[in-house]
Amino acid sequence: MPNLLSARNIVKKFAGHTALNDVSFEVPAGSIFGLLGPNGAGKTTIIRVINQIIAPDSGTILIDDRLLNSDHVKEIGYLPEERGLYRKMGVGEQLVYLARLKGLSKKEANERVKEWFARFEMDGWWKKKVEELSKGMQQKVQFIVTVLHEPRLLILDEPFSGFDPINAELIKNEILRLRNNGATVILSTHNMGSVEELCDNIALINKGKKILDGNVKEIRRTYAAHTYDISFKGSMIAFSNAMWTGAELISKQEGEQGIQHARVKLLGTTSPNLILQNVINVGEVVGFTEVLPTMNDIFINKVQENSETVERVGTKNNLTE
Amino acid sequence: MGKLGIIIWREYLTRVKNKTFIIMCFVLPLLVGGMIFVTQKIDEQNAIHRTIVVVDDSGIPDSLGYAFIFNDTLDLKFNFNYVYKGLDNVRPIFKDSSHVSILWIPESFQGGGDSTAMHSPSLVTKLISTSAPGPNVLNLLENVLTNEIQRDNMRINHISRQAVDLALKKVTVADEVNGSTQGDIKAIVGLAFGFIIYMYILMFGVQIMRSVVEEKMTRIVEVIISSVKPFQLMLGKIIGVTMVGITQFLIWIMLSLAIVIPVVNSVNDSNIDFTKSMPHQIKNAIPVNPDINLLSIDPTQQTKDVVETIMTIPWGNLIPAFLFYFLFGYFLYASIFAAIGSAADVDADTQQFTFPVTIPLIIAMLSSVTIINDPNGSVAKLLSMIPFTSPVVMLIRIPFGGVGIYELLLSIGILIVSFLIMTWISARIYRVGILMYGKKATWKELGKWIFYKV
Repeated sequence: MPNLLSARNIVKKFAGHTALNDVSFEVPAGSIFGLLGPNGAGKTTIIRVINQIIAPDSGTILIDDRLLNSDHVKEIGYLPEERGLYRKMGVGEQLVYLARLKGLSKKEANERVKEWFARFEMDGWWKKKVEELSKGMQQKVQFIVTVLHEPRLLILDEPFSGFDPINAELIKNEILRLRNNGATVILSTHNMGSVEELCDNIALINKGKKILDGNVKEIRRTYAAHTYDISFKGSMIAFSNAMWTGAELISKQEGEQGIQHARVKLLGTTSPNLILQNVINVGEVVGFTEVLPTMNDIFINKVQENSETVERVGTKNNLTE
Repeated sequence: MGKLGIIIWREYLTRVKNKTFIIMCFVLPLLVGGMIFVTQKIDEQNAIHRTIVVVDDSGIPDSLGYAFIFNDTLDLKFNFNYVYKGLDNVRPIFKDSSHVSILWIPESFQGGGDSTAMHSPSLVTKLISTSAPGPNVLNLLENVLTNEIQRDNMRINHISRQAVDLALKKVTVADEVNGSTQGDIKAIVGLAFGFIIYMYILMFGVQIMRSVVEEKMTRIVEVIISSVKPFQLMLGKIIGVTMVGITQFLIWIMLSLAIVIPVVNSVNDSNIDFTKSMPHQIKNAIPVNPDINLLSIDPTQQTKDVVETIMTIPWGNLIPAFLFYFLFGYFLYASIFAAIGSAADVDADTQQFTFPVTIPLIIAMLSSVTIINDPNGSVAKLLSMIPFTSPVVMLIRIPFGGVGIYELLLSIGILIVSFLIMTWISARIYRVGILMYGKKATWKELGKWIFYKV
């Protein structure tokens, strides 16, 4: 898959503070890319660089292998973390205005706003002022602002915050629909559940440095700690003995109908097959699954590991975050 | 339409469609028109029913006294009645009548007819009223009495009327540059233009500032500057708001003409008298009783002078200068206000910056008196070079003439250069400021932002 966007060696310094230190990553076309990192890591800075709100001190951003330039403005849709709309302006008028700033004609903008009104069941909102809308409704409007000009690259900063579960689902499905229609999505979020669910690839940034990137499935497999969940009918004591020195029992739980659940970590060169052979002797095995680390675990581990080497105190980013 | 055009148009439309704008546009001229109407009506009402009773106790021989010299020649709507009774008798009669004033000419007036006292005569009379009759009436009475006394004195000293008329022929100094009444008119014209610029900068500069703060506060600015350059947004806002201001002034001018003219006319109705609209000093200089007038100023001559003065104002310079100083002076300040707005998170944060910025404007307005007294003095010359005061000060000076072409060009040049530099600086502050949240900026920080690489 060709890359829609490549960030190469991006450096950005603010007065006495390095916000981005030699950050590189690739975003394959038609994928959902997770941009992860703790608060103040530099996510917003890199998003602003891609949006040409600020310029990097060095490094390049390529879109379709061409240097980022002002023509790319209309190909990018940006949902900032801090949502903002003109409070006293009508919803329809505002959407048309913002779409025209992205380069749509008045007519095109009008038609598309109507389409989205139908899609999000927002009939009768055209003349409403933003301040009359609930927070969730404002978020919907904000999302439409981002996608109205049908950008090829969507940059969504915490897209689910402020939505109730129903609307969050609606937005999630829209993101997937847009991706399926060919859009590439950069998703910046702290919600690791949605990263596992949506993202194909991620980059993890901490203190202005990229500390991890790659395919989500591969990363989880890489950090898989040879941990398995085993469910069986039989005695837990016998099970523990059967493990012997090949594996360590991390947790155990007695389930319904006499089924025991155990989580074990294989030690040394022990293979899953060997463990299974032993367990078969002490009871009837009803389940055996490998436990992959959650992105949450990986995130926390990597950031802590990184912070031990770097100074622990987080310096606050000069610009927002 | 380019992106700049789209921004300008939105900034313009949202303001013009705003209720406050519509109210400001229509209510203000109505208020002004209404006030003129009401004050004129009140004047009229007050005037109609007043009666002045003349009590002449002076008893000057060989004369009918002062009883019959009064005439309401100024159409102030007074009646004069004469009584041959002493003040003590007359006073109780009218003590409850609010519409009656008593003009008392005391015994000692003009030495009471005693020619030996003529060299130091008392010239004090009294107008006794229960409600104040207004300065016009006092002026009228003083003028009439003064004329009468002068006539009496001449007669007593055996000077013939003709001799006096010849002796007191008035010499006119045709005032081509700067005189009393003519100077007043020039001052009024200059001040008016200067004040319009002053008002406009303050009113609409603050609007720009608030609008920047609003965009920053609602965070929409980040969405917008992902589509357009911060400078485009700032410029679009400044131009849009400028157009709103121009629209407002045009509406005011048109409405004022539409409302004020008919009102003034209806009050003056049958009697469209040019002297009506003149200041009182001019009015009072007009003879009360033409055949005994010694201080002859022809009212039509006065009108002619006013018109001539207005003609001597260098309009050919003034109008283009007004448009230039208006636009560039405004742009100079507008970009500063935009930068201030960008440095604030909430409206209240802007105050620490707005006050110092408006000081030069206030100085310009305060020094207007000095400038009018000496339009080509050193204060005037200095302030018309400083770009922050020149838009107001130059406009006050130009009607008086005497602003050399090189001086004007230098001032214009300084303003243009300052405008360019200031806009550049403001734009640098602005592009950093709109992305800064959570801390109150200081002047020092604004200075640093200019040199930030963004």
